Amino acid sequence: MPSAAPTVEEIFDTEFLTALQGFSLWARRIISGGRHAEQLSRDKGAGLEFADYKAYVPGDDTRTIDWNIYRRLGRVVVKVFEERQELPVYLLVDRSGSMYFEAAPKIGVALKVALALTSISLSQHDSVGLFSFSNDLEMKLRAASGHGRLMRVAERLAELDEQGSTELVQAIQGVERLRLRRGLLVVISDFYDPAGLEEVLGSLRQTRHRLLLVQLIGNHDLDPSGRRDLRGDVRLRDCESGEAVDVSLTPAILENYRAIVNDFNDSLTRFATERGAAFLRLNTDEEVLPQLAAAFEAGSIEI
Amino acid sequence: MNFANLSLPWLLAGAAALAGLLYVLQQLRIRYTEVAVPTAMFWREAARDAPVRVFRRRFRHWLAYLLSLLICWLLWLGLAEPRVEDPEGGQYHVLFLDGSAHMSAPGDLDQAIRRLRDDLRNLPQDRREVIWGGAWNLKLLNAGEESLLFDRRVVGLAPEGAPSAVEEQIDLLALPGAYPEAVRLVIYGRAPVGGGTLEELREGVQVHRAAGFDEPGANRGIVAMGLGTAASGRWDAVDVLIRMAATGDLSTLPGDVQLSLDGSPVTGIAIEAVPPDGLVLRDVPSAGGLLEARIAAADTLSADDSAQLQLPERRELKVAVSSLLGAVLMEAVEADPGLVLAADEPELVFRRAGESFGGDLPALEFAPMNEQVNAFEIQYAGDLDAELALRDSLRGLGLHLIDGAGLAVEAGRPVGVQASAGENRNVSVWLELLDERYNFTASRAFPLFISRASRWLAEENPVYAYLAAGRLAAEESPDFALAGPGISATRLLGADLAPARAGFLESPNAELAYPVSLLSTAVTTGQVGVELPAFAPTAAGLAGPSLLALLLILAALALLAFEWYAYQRGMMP
Repeated sequence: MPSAAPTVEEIFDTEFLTALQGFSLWARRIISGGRHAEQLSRDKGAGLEFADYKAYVPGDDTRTIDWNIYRRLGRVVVKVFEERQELPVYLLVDRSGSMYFEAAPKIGVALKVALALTSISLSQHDSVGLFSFSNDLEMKLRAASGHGRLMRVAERLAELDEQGSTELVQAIQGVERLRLRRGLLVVISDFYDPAGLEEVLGSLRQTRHRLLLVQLIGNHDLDPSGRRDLRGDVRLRDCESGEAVDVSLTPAILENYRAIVNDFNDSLTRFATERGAAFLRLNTDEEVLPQLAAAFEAGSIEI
Repeated sequence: MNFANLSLPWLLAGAAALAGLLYVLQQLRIRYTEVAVPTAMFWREAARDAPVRVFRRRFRHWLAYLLSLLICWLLWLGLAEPRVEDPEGGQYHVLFLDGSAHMSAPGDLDQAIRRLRDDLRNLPQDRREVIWGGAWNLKLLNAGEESLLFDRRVVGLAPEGAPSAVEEQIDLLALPGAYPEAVRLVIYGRAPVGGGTLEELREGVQVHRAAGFDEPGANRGIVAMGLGTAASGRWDAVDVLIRMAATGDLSTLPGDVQLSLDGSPVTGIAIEAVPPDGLVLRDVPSAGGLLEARIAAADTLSADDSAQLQLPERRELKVAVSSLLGAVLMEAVEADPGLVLAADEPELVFRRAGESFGGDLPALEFAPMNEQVNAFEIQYAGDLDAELALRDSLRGLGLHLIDGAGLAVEAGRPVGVQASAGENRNVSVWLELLDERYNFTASRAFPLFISRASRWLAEENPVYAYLAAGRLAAEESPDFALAGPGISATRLLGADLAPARAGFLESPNAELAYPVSLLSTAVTTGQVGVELPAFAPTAAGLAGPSLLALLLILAALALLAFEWYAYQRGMMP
């Protein structure tokens, strides 16, 4: 049963956003080329935090020569500082039919998470870009920073509506073709791509960006035995493609189903671990904030 | 335990059928509930190893099936209406629905049916049966059959013009092994039972009468109508006796009887009153025809208001006698007023054996002793058993009156009679018997033999003194017994002729139809015989559907509610 998307007011929950102030997203090293910000860059240069010494070569800023060393050792060395730059964060939000399904649709959680990550990123002076996908990839906002950006992102998120099926593989490939500056690609989806999880993971392996995978999953997805309408002989119709599969529901089949879902989740988790990607699995039937708080256990997620 | 509405075999058969039906329905049930899900990709994979249930595939929902079966069985059991106690103490009941002429008054039979139906509901199904007591006693409902069938089978039944045969049924009860030891016959109607019949009952047999049948109203009717040889001695006429009976203040005066012959009023016949309630018609011509006596009566019973009788047809037979035979035969023919010597167009001939005289006409032949083994050889047409034919021929042709021993002594050889089947009728006698020394022609049997042999050869129809419903027919034409169309069929079965009910009795070839009248004094006078104890089922048996049946149905409803609850809660498919 498809549900309506939340409004801007519903998304832009100040209380919720205030609670996120202690959270941060830290990239281990980002590729240089961006403007100065708070993310640790691979470049060494004009930052504030001391990083190392190196021998002076002509062209180095003479202000960084450590004269104390020169006086004691007679060698001219310069101090090298950590250079902090902005991290481009690309939000890729799933707007397919499955995200709008059921009374408490996943899209509500997806939008909240997207706005939360936007808020966290913008607070770190990172730039945030917004993409949505279903059958097609659609750029909603170019990556940019600034606190005024948060409202624009919220407005764009509220404009999202149900559209087509989950074509995540194509969406990731589409993002890759845009040759965006390397940054953090946040995929917010249930990952129910009809092409299969392996295809999705294959395309994710190809991306140049760092990854933050946010998997949205409901209780009924995990264990359908709680659904009253799933009894006896049922014709299960896919809410996106409309394809049907006839099933005689028995405890054995339910057990089989749970095992398949667990495999699916395990594969996603394993991929994230192997790829060094951050991974969030959020239950859409539970409150978002506590789950985010648990994910940002130490106040930050390192990616 | 027994069941009010179903026998045990039917109950078990129904339960098995329900189990089978539910099993098939479970097998066939592929009613899919359509549900939209976002995870169809997982379901497709999950169902890949366990395909959906289709016809004759693995049976899955045993608990659901057993619950449904339990509900159906409880309802079925409730419908059967089990009863723990037998209110009639194990007695077998024969319910006799009187369909005789005793029940001819309007409403009598309907009342009997209603009473029987009420009692039927309260008797154990496997220990009761219903007999229809009309012209014949017929089983209307067997033990173990559904009571509902009674209503269907009783449709169209009406009282028959016959006296009651309830005593035959009582006699049957008395036969060892025919019925259980303890058996009770309940008569629904006025069928009378004689005291003698009850005295012969074996122990364990009881006869009751359902209450509620009042004394019949005043009635009068004809109780006897028969013919006999004319007292005047005329060969071509008969005397007819008619007797009436009445109850209440109705009269039985001879003047009340209206007579008609073939539909026309009878005239020119002397009628004598035979006190107290009879009359005799003297010298009624034996020219055939249907004689009807009718008595006008404003009573409720019409079956006895008229009686009919088929008059015999006695005519002169033209006989030609061969010149090769002696004058003694001529004298015998001339002495018989029913026989006329006629050279032209004779109907039968007397001749010597082998003589061509008379051609193919029926013939009384005389053959020399050395050419014929038996003294009397009779050839009859038809399929009558030879032994029966021989037995009948002795009396029919008056041979029993012959001094056979004297003839045998004189002839010096045994005097025998042989009957055999053939295409035409023929009687062949030793020629020597015409000789005076055998004393045959001088015996009183000779003219009788000539007369009866002639009429038998002429194939005259049989004559019955009377034909009354439920009574043995009295045949007045022994000389025609060898081929009487009304008796051949019954005699083949070794039975006597007893028409079952009033109406017409047709010969097997449907060429003749003899009227059969009710002629029952018991019916006309409303005899009830011995007073019988009234039948009333015990109070326990009158209490509608049993409490146990109600409890079973309530239990089934409770299980239905549980099934619905379980279904709603997802505990069963």
